Amino acid sequence: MRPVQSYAIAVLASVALHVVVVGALLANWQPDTARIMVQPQFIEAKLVELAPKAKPKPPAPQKPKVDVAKKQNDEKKRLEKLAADKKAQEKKRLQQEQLKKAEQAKKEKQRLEDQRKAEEKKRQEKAAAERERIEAEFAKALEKERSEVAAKNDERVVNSYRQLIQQRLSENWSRPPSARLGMETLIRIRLVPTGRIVGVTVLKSSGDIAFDRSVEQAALKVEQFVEIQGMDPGLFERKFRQVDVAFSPEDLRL
Amino acid sequence: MRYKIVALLMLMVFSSSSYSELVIRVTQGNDKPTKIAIAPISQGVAKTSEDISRIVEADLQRSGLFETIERRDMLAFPTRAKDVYYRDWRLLGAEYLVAGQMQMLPDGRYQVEFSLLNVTGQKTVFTHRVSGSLSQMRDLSHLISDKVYEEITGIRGAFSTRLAYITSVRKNGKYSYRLNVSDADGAREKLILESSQPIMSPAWSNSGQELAYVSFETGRPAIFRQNLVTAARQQLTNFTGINGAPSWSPDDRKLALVLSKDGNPEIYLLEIESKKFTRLTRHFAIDTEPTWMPDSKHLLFTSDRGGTPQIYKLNIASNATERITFAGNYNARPSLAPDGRTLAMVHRTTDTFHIASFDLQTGRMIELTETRLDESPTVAPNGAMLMYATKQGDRGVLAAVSLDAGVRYVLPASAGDVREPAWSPFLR
Repeated sequence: MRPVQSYAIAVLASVALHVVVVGALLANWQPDTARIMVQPQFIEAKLVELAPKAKPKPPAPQKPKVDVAKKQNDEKKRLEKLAADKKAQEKKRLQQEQLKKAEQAKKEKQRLEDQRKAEEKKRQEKAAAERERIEAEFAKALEKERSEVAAKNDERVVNSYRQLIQQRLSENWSRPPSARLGMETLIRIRLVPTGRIVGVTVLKSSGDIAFDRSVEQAALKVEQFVEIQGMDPGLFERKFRQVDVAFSPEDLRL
Repeated sequence: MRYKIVALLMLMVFSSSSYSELVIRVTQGNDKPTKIAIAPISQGVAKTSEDISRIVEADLQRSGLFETIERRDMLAFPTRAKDVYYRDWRLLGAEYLVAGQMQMLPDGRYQVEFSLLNVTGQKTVFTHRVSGSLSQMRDLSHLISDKVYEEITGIRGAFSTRLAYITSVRKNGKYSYRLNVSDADGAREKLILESSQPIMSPAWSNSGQELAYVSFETGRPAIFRQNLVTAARQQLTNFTGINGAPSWSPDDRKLALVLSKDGNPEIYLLEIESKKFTRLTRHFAIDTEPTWMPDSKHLLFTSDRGGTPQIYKLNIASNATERITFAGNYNARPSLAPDGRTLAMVHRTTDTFHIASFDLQTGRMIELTETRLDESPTVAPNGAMLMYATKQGDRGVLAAVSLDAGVRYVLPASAGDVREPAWSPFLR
């Protein structure tokens, strides 16, 4: 039961995360955003939280302690004693054997050392990979958060300018008496970065010439949206180089 | 993994489709009179005291839809489109400019060539020519007003139309009644009929050539028709009792009218050619003030059959009636706008009579005037204004109000009490 439960929590967490991401995408995400980088404080807070995790903690290498020297000494003494009893050839042979053994020990030592080094290297590589993975994940999360914030910020800015344009046009729109509820004229306003209107074209006529003209006049009367001067140039290019506006009265009697 | 990508792509599609809603929607306006400058039209060739530009200015100003630029503020007096410096006019806040000049034609008539210029858009909207004799300077002016008004407002101008109305003057203790016709601005009043006995209820034929009215000259009320061009006159009714409230059918072949020959006032139909009368209503209450609907199949009339005067609709073929108004304790004198939808009437809620407009489709009633003794509303043929009779001091005068109640003006008073205006149809 226990393993299943913990598994369920993980699944739940993952589902929740997906929901959040999908929600964020649905709400704000747009394919061409994320260039305004106004980074709020809480991102830095997340940085602090994530940073210690990201730092690798390489464990201290454990040096194997093999007392090879002492072993060698004992062996030598014993061999000398035997050599006194036995013949010189034997001694020579033993000496050779001993040399061989020493060599073997040395080799063994070398092997152990190599193994240790290899293991260490492996561990370090693994740690580095882990660190890299965490860092990448963090960078990814950070980038995502940044783009989300930027998108949100972008949209907020876009909306405020849109509102401004709407209000200014509304103030300058004087409808003819032929205007009726349900009429709609769609125009395209072309702007330059100073906010000056350089072109007005009717994309969709209402069918009433006087009504269409009142719409064109409204835009021409505005002349310039001065506030647009302060806009980020990238944002201007993407969203405000040309603006489509639909005029449709809802406050008329007929 | 693949499925996630698909999901992501779908999200992109959805989120980008929600962004095609980038269109800004403007749903409210700030309706202000259009600022227009009428540059003095050079008319030196004609020896006349009429100032065409001034008449056009007054026409446009009176409509309530325009605000004119003072002549003394103008920096230049261009007479042709190519002489216009838009910047000068823009400085004055003008959205439009009218410039023109007059020249004499070989046949001795005068021609005005005038242009409407869009100052905001810096382009000429149109250039037109109108011509007429020296005595027609006011007609030319109203034609110019009509053209300009129609272009900018999208509604046909009614400056070249006329008014018929009744005046009564007291002279040496005796009353003198007159039926007059004037321009829509009250100028050029012309006497049609004078009588020592009352004259009432003038009604324009739809051709604009004739008037029908009630005259008491024979000692009792009788309905007459009179041609305005030839002055030919014909008595149409001579019954005992009431003979009143004539209204021309859309084809001018019939008159709806009120007769009380059978007891109490009822609505009748008169075929003018054959002199055949058809009784349309049968009710012990008073039925009066018939007015035709544009479909020629229905009449609107006033009846007190419900206890108070209210407006009813009558199907001429079936004689079926239907009550139209319910708000207020008095609704009478229906006058229908040419759209067949907006009905002007005299309306009383508590104890004062107002002119109100009533939307036949939505049933909404709007009070247009606030004075106390407003009566006899008559809607202009373009449906933008209505004229009515009211009191100024103790004198009867004519006043006009736009059907959105935005503008109101009183016509320059002629002699005596003025009553019962009737606005002509479009002429010519």
